[in-house]
Amino acid sequence: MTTAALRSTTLGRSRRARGGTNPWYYVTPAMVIVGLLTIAPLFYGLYLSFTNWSLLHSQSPSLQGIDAYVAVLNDPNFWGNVARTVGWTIGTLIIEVVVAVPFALLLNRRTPITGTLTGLVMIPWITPFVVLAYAWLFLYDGTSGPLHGLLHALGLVGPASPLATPSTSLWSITLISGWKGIPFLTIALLASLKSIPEEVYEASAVDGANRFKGFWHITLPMLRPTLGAMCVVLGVQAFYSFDLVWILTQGGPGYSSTLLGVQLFQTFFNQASPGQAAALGTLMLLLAIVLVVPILRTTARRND
Amino acid sequence: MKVGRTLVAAASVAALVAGLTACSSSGDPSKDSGKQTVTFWQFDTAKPTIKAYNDAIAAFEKKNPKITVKMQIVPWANQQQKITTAIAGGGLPDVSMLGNDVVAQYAASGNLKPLDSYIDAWSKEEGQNIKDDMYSGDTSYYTYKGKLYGSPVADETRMVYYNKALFKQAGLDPDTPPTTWEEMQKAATALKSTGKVPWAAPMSNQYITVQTFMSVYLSYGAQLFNSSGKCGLDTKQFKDALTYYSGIAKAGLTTTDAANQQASDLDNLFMSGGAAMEIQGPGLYTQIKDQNPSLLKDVGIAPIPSGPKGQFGFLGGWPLVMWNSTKVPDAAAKWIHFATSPKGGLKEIAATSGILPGRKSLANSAPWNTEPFTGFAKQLTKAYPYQYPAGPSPKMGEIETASVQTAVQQVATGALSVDAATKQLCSNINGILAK
Repeated sequence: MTTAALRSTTLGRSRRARGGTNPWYYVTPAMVIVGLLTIAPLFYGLYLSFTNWSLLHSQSPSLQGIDAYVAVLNDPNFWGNVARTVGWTIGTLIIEVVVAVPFALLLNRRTPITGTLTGLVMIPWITPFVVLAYAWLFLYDGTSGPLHGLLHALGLVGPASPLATPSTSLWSITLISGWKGIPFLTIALLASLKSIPEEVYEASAVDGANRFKGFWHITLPMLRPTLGAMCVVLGVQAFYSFDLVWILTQGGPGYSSTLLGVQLFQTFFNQASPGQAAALGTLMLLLAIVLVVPILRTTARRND
Repeated sequence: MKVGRTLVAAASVAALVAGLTACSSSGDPSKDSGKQTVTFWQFDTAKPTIKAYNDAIAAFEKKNPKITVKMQIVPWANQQQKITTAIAGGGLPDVSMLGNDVVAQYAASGNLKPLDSYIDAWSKEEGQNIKDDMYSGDTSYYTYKGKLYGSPVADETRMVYYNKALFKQAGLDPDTPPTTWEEMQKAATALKSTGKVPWAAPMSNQYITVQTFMSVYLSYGAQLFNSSGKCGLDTKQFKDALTYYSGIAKAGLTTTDAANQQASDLDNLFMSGGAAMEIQGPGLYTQIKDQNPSLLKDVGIAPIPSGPKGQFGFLGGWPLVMWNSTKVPDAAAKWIHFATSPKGGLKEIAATSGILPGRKSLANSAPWNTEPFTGFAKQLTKAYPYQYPAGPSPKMGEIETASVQTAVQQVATGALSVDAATKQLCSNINGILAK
């Protein structure tokens, strides 16, 4: 060990021994930013949820216990919106996983067009959301939409756009939501696939495993941590969805595609009730935690 | 050494906080120069309207060199969100446009400044009683608990636009447009033979739906509120109106996607000759003139049809209002008066927007004394608020968006029966009223 290195190590030890506070100096600015931008609004939202503040009745919030929560839970549409949001989230994830896994496996093979295909796959992800929504609005159009024409010919939808029909509006938007998330999951899985050593497959082939067994016993278990983490990210994103539904149907016809995100928007802006909107947001957070924790636990257990 | 690091850390935190503080404060550059700045939210995104407002602002600033008007364009579609966010978090303008139906809402919540004392002063300045120069519908909409909160810019009502060529093609007399809802339905049924959309009747959860449907339910004798101030729609009159209007969709007389289309979709359809009839305001005439002038020779405009209880037009419009948070009320009032006065910028603003000015004395002069504006002005005398005969309701904004349109949409798409939709509608309205 050189003298300089020795001095450095000694200094480091002596700082730790003093219980030095140096790291705080560096972390503080970042913590202030994180605190201001995320934690403070979270706590303010939590505070607002106990106020039942309505802009139509008072200029400023004042604490009113759990009134806002009671109002939200007594809303006749709340539980229907919960069911639709959970169904939408699960539906979105199923579409994403069912399409992205084989897609990633396909792109993992070395072919002359793999690079181009990988680039093309990203298009839905990088295209602005509003552009995509209007493109789908056209595809589903009841008069001239090609996708509607196909679905109608197959007898899956009626003469009107599936977005204008209560029985089909939710699943037709779920399809778009899933489609939109496929690229992100595909690329994440592809990166994970690239990290699996070729030797593992070669060894399994020597032991007599066929391709399916190789997929089932090697690929899938090794993809599981990535798949679990991505399901959490994409699931949370789908759970809080608002923009896609708002652009395409505004939650209609009737309440057939109203998600909790849409209800939250309407509670705040149409009903001018920040208190109830905050209570709904808090309930959504709790529900998201309830849905996410089992996935994280399962992934963590399997990793152990 | 330790002191030095502490100072560096403290300085970086202080700089960060100072930076954030600076970001959140826009400052008031007008303080030093003695000038006052009036912030103004304008909701119309059409280029001619924006130009008309810019011209009006230039003329106003020339006349009032110590006042600067800072206009911000907030599209109609986003204004409600923007206002709600500003009320909750700060940042309201001094003056803004506002939908006539929500003036009472913001007046009731204490966010608007009454304009009575200003209007009295302006009346002396103009040499006429401004309240007498306003349409009675506007006076009713903008008055809350005896105080006036809006100075009218524009008024509008809806009439039946119809395509005379398609009428002829269907064997209908193009000079005898339908005068009742029953005749409207009969004409639509005949127009099916043209292969075009007979009547671009909205069934979506957009404003256009309630703006059209209200003419039907009022003419059937239905009333939004009963004598006890609760939902008054659970009646035979309303159910008959809802059956009639949703029946247009069920009979295939409107577009197949009417339950999910915006007003602009239906306007474009009529303008391209793809629909035979549409109920719309004077703005559509200006749009046709600009975008498809060749269609004008085939366009007929007829009064809104009557129902069993008479003829009831939609009463649209918007005033300028002053927000209570303003720090420059007198300068704001001066701008409101200039922009809404026939002797100020109102003529130019209304003429370029293709709407009717909110002052009767101006509406009786050119260019509004020619067709089709005279027809709209005449229709305006039979235009009523959604809640007619009741007065303005602070809850109207929420009721019209959250309830009435949804009921129409649900019946039109077959999701609910007329009875079930009416029951749900009244439950929703009473829930909103009880808050």
